[in-house]
Amino acid sequence: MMNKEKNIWTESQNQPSKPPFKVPDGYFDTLEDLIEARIAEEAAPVSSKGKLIRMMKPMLAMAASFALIFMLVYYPLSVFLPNYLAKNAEEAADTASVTDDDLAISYFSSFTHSYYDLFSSEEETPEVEVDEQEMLDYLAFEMNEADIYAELIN
Amino acid sequence: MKSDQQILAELKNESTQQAAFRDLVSIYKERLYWHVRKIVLSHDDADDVLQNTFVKVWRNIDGFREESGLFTWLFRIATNESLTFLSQKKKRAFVSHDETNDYIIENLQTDPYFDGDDIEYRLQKAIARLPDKQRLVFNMRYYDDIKYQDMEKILETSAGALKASYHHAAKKIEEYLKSEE
Repeated sequence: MMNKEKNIWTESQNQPSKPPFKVPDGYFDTLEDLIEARIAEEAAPVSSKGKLIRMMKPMLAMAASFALIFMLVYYPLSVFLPNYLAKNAEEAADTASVTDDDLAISYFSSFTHSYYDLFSSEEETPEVEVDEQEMLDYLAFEMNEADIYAELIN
Repeated sequence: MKSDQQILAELKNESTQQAAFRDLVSIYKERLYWHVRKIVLSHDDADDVLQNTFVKVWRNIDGFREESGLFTWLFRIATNESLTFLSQKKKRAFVSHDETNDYIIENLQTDPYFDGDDIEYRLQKAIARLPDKQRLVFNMRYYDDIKYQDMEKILETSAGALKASYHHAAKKIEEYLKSEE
């Protein structure tokens, strides 16, 4: 085995070797026809219908995938767990019917502003300008003379 | 058999174009096939690459400026197509560019169109492990006995660099075969 390996290697240095491959019978006989057919196929104009189908192909494939996934989930559930599906359908029907009471509750619950929001909101706080005299009148009304004196001392 | 000049002249004439192209395929199909086959190894891949090569030749024949010979031009297209095919195959197999070409030889032993024994399989394995350029040079010299001067035009590399590539390739193969003993 080693001798044969050496022979392959040493002989190869002096003369070209034949690659250890073969081709299917008659492969080369039909090659010209195959290539011509391929060139003709690529050169053939694509109809607008064909173009549309080609453009739609990815979308159709995606839709088909979703449909398949839905079928794979829904069909086993409908066969093996029909009660589960019926229960879910009833719940869905319950939530679908809305009474006037529900609407009223949802209306009042939409008032979510707290008192803090009311006072902290800059937009809603009116700006009042108070002149000096008004301020003194206010203080004089709210405090007696002893309080004012104490404030001044501090 | 028609000469390259005759074929090229007929290819430029619309009325004789198709027949001339058929002649071109007939003349070069086997040589190009074996060149491609030694790079990609499997028959099916070689068939794909060869057909792509001829389609590309047909599309670009008007742009052929005859600066190089027809044979050189065809070989260059076939080589590029083969290397592009291998790099796409590498990507599909999630093999990084730096890794060896072991993956292309994986199915060779069970390939019905592989005609070699265990030793020839090991030789192919050793060749497959070479970097692409060394592999090309080795195959062209070892199997096809293409002269370095012709190789220069096909691979667009100097004869000195090609000789060095062949030398490195031969050394690596020898070492690999010894390590496998």
